[in-house]
This record gives sequence, C-alpha cells and structure tokens, in this order.
Amino acid sequence: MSEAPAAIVVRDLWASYNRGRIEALRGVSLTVAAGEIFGLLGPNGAGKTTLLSCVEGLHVPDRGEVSVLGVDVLRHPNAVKRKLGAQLQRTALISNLTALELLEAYAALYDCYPSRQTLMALLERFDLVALAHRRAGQLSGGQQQRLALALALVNDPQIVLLDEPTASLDPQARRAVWALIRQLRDEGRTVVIATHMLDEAEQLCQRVGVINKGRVVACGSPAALIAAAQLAAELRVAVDLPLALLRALPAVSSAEMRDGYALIRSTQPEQTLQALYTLARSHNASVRSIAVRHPTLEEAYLRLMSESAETSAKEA
Amino acid sequence: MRRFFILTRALVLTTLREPAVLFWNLAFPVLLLVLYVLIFGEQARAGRAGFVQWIVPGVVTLNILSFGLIGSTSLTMQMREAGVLRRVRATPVSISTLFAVFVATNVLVCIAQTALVLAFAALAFGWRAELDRLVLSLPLMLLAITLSVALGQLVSSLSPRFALALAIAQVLFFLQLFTTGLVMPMDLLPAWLGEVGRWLPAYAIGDLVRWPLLEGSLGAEAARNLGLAFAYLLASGALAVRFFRWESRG
Ligand SMILES: Nc1ncnc2c1ncn2[C@@H]1O[C@H](COP(=O)(O)OP(=O)(O)OP(=O)(O)O)[C@@H](O)[C@H]1O
Ligand SMILES: [Mg+2]
Repeated sequence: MSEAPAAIVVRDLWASYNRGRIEALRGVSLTVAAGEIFGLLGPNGAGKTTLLSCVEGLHVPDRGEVSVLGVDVLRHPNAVKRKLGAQLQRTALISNLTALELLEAYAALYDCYPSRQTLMALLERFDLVALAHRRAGQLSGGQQQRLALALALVNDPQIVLLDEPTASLDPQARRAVWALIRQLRDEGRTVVIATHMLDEAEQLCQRVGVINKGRVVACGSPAALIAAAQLAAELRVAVDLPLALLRALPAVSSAEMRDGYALIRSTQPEQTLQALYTLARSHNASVRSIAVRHPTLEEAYLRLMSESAETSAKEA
Repeated sequence: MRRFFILTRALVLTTLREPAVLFWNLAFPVLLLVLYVLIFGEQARAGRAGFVQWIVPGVVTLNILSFGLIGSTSLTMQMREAGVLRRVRATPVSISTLFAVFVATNVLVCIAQTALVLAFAALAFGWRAELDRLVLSLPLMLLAITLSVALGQLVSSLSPRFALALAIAQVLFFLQLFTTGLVMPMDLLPAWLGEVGRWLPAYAIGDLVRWPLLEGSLGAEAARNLGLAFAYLLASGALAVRFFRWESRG
C-alpha cells in the first residue's frame, strides 16, 4: 500500500440525535486519502450527512475520533474548519443578498478578503457570472446549488465536503459539476461527496464507502466493490448453438433465449467468450454479434444492501 | 475588524431589502408618536406644545425597548430557523463576532428609527430639538439601544423557537413597561414591586434616555443607572454568547 497521508481519519465514531434516542452512526471507521475523490454511498437515513457533520464540526459525536489532516476536530474545531470547504445538503442562503455579496460575506467569515476579480473567477467556474448581481432568492434551485458549491470554495480549502452536490441539477449542469470536482482533485484537493446516485460515484470516485444504518458495510474502489459482489456479466450473443451447450461453457451461471439472442450470464466473461469461439468453430457455427454488459456499481450496491438487510434481520 | 464591517454591512443590506419589515420598523415608532399626540395632545394641561416636548422622549424610550427586545430577535431567529446559521457554523467565525454583528446591525436600525421619530416630531409637531440636549443624549441613547438589543439577543439565544422568543420578549417588555414607570407612575405600585422595578434594565434605559432629552441634564440617579445599564449589558452579552444556538432543532 502507498503511504499517502490521510486527509480524514474517522475511528469508531458513534453519533446520535435527540439525546441518544436516534442512533445515526454506530461505530464508523474510515480513512480518506489525500488527493482522492471519496464517495459516501448509502440509502436515505444511512448517516451520510451526520458523518459529514461530525467532520465539519457541526455535530458532536457521542464517542470516537475524527481528525482532518492530522488535526483532531473536537479539540481544534476552528483549525479544521479553516481547511474545509463545505456544501451542506440543505443550504439556506440569505435570500436577499446577491451571489457576489454572499461570496464576499462567506469569505469574511473565514477572515479571507479576496479581490472582486477572484470572486468573479469563482463565479465563472460555476457558470454564475451572469447572475453575480442577482439575489440568491431569485435563483433557480440548481443555480442556488451551484452557488452553494462556489461558497464551499471561497476559503480555498484543501478538503471539500459535498453533500449531494448534484441533487437538483439538470444533466448538463451535473456533468459540468463532475468536471469541476475532477478539476478540484487535479488541483490537489481532497473531495468527499455524499450521494445516492451510483453512476455519479462510479464516474467520479477513486474509492467509495457504503454506509447503511450507521455502519460502513463496504469500502474500496468501485471496481473492487463490483468484483467483491461476484455479479455476473451479461453476454448477448447471436449464434446458432443449442442453449444446453452454451450453459455448459465455463463460468456460465445461466443461458436463455431472448428476442432471438442467447442471453448468457457469466462471472468470468473473457473466459466464457474464448470458450464460446472455440465451441462455435468446432460446430461450424458463426458468432454474428456479441454485446457484453458488465455489472455496474448499482447492481453491486443493491446486492450489498440486500445482504446487509439479511444480516440485520438475522441479528434481530 | 474588517470581518466585522463586511458582515455587518451584509446584515444591514438584508434588513434594508426587506421592505415590509423595514417599513414596519420605521413606521411603528412614528405611528406611536402620532397616536399619542392626536389622542392626548389637546387635553394636556401644558398644551399641545408642552405635551409634545414631554411625550417624545417617552416614545423614543418605548421604541428602544420594544425594538430591542421584540424586533431585534427576528433577524437572528429567522437566520437560525432558515438554516443560515448552520452553514455559518461550518466556518471558523466566533460566536462573539457573530453576536457583535447582530447587535451592531440592530443598533443601526434602532438609531435610524430614533432619528426618524425625532425628525418627524420636529417637523410635524414642532418638537424643539436643542443641540446641547441631543449631544448629551446621544451616548446615553446609544448605550440604552445597545443594552436593549443585547437583551433581545439573549432572548434569542435562550429560545429554541421563534414563537417562544417572541412570547418571552413580549412578556419581558410588558412586565417592565408597567413596573419601571414608563407608562404609569411607580407610586401606584406596591412598594416591593416598585423596588424590584428599580433594578430592571428598562428602568435604567428610561432614566438614561428621558432626562437628557427632557431636561438637558442627567437625572439624579444617572451614575447608579449607568452602572446598572453596563452591568446588564455585560451580563446579557456574556450569556447570549454562552447560550448561543446555531440550530433550531437537535
Ligand atoms: N437533526 C436531526 N434530528 C433528529 N434526527 C436526525 C437529524 N438528522 C438526522 N437524523 C436521523 O439520523 C439518521 C441519519 O440521518 P442522515 O441525515 O445522516 O442520513 P443521510 O444518509 O444523509 O440520508 P439522506 O440520503 O436522506 O440525506 C436518520 O435516521 C435521521 O432520521
Ligand atoms: Mg443526507
């Protein structure tokens, strides 16, 4: 393993609401490496926002440790807050201040006084220049979301925590924000995004942590999570061979006819394909077309969720 | 300091851009004055001109008390309930800075109200503004306004909800109204209640604002009331910061 210094270390974190009546985090441990885009995945109520709140110093955990770039959040909250940029899931902006005024005010909260030029450049990154003098309350939901993202960068943070950053964006704006998040990473910043959009996590994140009911149920690269779920790829093949023969190919879990194609499920698609060509040649059959669909993070995620539901049912 | 100015300017801007709130804030004390003069002015023994000289300091005091306690809570409470303060909490700004910004913003609004009432009284009812009285009044009014606003911020800090803050503020306002001689003579109170009233912040506020405007001199108890006002200011500031709430739930 490489020894990149950790951006965020969370150890055995427990957090609750309403004086312990609602347990939101139940022993979460994770490490976010410096310079990576880390995804927090999980269903509604899993504890993603609570975890981010503990890192941001917005929620005091019941026990456990959180440190950011080696600094303990509970002991030195302000030192940590200076290094962080935060976009909260529900951002309320002061609705009758303009985008530019808000950026200036939020910068001042960090004791930063960027020039107007710098602030306009920040608005430019989020395609908000034309709206610089528009009041926040008169922006559309997606525009407000982009402004919230711009606000998260106003203190030039080393670590950026984004809670569902693309939740109300149109597909184009979503891709623009993805590009921006990659850009943040390329500038050497660490980015953590909480999301339940699996395509987003798969596209963006080097690693993801899957949380369910306040516990981390899996953590690793999207490819590793998909591999660990041992899901089958789907091969759609146009070939004149009996299904029984196809089913006998290596690594095949099932094969059936659908719309004139053979639909083959295989856990080792490369191996199955090679064997399929050999088989076709020996039967003088030609393989007219092949389409392979690999399992996605979404399928791996759904599998993980149903497994963790089963284990918690067993525990109960 | 720079931070303080930028943040205060931002809050003043938001206040100015809330036309309904602004109108009400500015119209309320003027309306109060107009009503008093129209209803009681003609019957007053000293005649209307004398009545105006007498009632203007009273209206200014009432407004300082009601805006500070009741009106000034709304900016803080709204920003908390809307979740603005939660986002602000993610920044390293200190509670005392925020408190100072909220107080400064409301103090500015209340100064504007006071100036408007005085200007209106002079123009519409011939209130005689004498320069030496105004100069003497200015620092005392500023202290009274700051104290009143700080009390309002303390109420905000202690109230988890806007509605509760309003209720508490109104109770405090009316209790003090009747026990500190602002609307009825204190001789009418039972002795023990009068003694309690003399130790309430509104008593100091009333004394510090009315005498200089009315007589052009400090009242006999000015030193005591200055001390009382500063003590309340320090205590309410310290408690408002200590119990500051960022969020309305949780
Ligand atoms: N302010 C609060 N007061 C009480 N309970 C809360 C509060 N915030 C969250 N919870 C509870 O804590 C648990 C975790 O919530 P959290 O907001 O962290 O989930 P999440 O993973 O961010 O969900 P979502 O995807 O819906 O945003 C949930 O059971 C939720 O009901
Ligand atoms: Mg959330």
